[in-house]
Amino acid sequence: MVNKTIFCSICKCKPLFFYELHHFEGFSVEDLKKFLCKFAGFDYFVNNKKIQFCLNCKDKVESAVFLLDKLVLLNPNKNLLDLSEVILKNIMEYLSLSDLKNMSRVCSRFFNLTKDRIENTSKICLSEPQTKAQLFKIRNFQRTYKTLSVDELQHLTGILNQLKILKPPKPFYLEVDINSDDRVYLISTLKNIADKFYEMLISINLNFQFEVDEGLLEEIVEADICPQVNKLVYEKKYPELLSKSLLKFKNLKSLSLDCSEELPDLSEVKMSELKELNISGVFSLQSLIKYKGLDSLKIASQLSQAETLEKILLNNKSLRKLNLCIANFDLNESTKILKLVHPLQNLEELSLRTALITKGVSEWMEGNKFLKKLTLHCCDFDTETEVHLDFFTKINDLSWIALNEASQEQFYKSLVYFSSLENLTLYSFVKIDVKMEEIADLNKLSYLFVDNEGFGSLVHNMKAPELRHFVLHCKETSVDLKEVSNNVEFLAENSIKIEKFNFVATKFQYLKEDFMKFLEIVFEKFDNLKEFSIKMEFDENFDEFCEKIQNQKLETAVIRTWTQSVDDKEVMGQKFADKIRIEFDFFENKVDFYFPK
Amino acid sequence: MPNIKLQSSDGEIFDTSLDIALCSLTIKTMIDDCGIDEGEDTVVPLPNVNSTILRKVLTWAQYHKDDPQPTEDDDSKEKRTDDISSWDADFLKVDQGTLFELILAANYLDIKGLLDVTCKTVANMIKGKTPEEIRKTFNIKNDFTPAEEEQVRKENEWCEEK
Repeated sequence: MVNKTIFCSICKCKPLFFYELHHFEGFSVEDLKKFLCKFAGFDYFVNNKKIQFCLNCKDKVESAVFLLDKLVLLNPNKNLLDLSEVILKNIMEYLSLSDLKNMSRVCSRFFNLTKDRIENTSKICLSEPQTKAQLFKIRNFQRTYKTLSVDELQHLTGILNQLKILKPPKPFYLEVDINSDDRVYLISTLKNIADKFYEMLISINLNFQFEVDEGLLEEIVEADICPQVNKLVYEKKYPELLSKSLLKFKNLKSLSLDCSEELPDLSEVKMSELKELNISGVFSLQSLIKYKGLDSLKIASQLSQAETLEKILLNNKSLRKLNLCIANFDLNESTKILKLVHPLQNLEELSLRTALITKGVSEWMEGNKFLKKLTLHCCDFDTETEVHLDFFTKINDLSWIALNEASQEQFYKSLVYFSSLENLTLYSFVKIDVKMEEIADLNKLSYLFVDNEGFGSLVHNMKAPELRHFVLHCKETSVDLKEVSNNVEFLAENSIKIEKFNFVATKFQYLKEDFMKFLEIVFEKFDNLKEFSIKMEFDENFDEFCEKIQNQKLETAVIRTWTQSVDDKEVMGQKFADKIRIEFDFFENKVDFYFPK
Repeated sequence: MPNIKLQSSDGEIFDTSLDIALCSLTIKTMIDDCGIDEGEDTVVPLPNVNSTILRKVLTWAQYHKDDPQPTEDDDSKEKRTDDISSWDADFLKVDQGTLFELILAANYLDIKGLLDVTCKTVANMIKGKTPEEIRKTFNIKNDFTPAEEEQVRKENEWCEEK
């Protein structure tokens, strides 16, 4: 057994497993080397005598020559370190936290492998009692369900009681999304958290998306829970009451307010710990001027308040995330905002959704070289944009909505500069006649389209060999579903790795047979499809549609709908609960799909 | 039940009963996809398993051929390592190299039962050992600097059992 380091002759990595090519038909090894140098980037000098390459580069060799049955997978030295990550993680499943801790101290590879498992530990399953060993593992406790049932709340209280006895060491970080319609248990659970963990570092997320009433908020304040709340999401009414209550939330790190009427006056509320601020609605930004040192800021407003915004941004130059969705900026204000963004040198995520941006795009591009995520929903760009896009090699998530034809053409040509792109969201009004460069790493594509011609031209022009997730938004009534089906079929033939398909149709008229045909194509043509989700309104045939999805070999199926045609939604939900998650009365997220007019 | 021929990476042919070979989901998929009929003299190539290991895998599969198929519920059960049968324990009294090759073969051939029991055996070799004892057991070099080692110890401090 050979015990030396093997390098891949193509990517130069040190693989645990590698392929070796000995001979092929009448070719000598030397001939094959020369051939692979030319067609697969093979480096003759890496492994002098042999043709060896890693699993990742196998595809390149295979596409250069059809050698599948001639390749032999070898493994030079087998010890514990040589087992794959998947197998080592399988072994780790059997180890206690203390064994994992010891394992992490053996060597750097084990440290990296065990890190996540030790840090994140096991999530609590609320339907089963927790053992002492499991409780010790709890560090981050997260609940993602929208509503905790009474039983779950009771169980949570039990867990908290046990945790208190076990005295978990600091830093202990508890993160709970609380959102329940049962106010008695909600209050008792919150009190429980506050009482039992008073001296510990705790994060509690309060997410008031249900109809909170004045009394409930008062009870929460009276229960003396507020100092421990780190994150508050408040999307309902009584802003004046909240304004008063906010004084009690002294340690907030994250605050999200959706105030359709008026933003509560925050100018007197001292929140020195605040790092994340999300606000939307009709309000004056004046009360935010005092806030300094924010890490993330999101503002969605109908009012243009460029001067105030300028002061806010000047106070928060170390922002990492900025999301501005302001409809009524005029040209001068847009340009001014771009100049304000320019000095935010730490910015990693930028989202701009305003009516007009024509000048200055390239100026701020030079200032924000660390951007990883960029969302631009604008009407127009200056024609110099293209030459500066090569600053954006680090961007892996790009959402681009430009409303005129010239900008789009410019954009498609420029895609080549985004060499790290993994997620792309496009909104297209027009046919794409530009030849698109291959987007080698693109994993997810979201496409919001208005007409069939645009969609057709996209699927015929696009080259994204690694595409695994496709999201299609049909946002207009004029869509011809037959044509959509044809284009989806073409997509399936050319993007064979797609595993997830999401279909969103907000204003959509269709014939039943066309719709069923569309579904047939999705389910039959995407060979690797594991997940399907759909969000649309159903007038009739909902039951039949669910039956059809039920019968597919999918790992996950989700339907989000606001249909009125189903009498008993609970019964319907339960009927298909084993295979499909159905969410009725789903509310459209106003901000995410907001387009300036 | 008809027989099937399996070819190891070093070219040895194993003529084995189909019901034993079908313990491997990889072989089952190959047979299903290629449409191999009963009695047909087709050889299924297994380029990632050598003859020594394939022989052991088939011995294991022969002994366990009547075991019930693992279900999804089994995955949600508590992960224990003290439930290895005495036959399996004896079967796995092999050198480390063979044990790891068996794990790799079980993974490649997709034989859940064999993969589980071999992983449990390795887990038992790790359990209760100090980092230095784990290194000695598996001949692993400590590649941490003293500063990194201290950092790792600090990072894990929170989960020290009191």
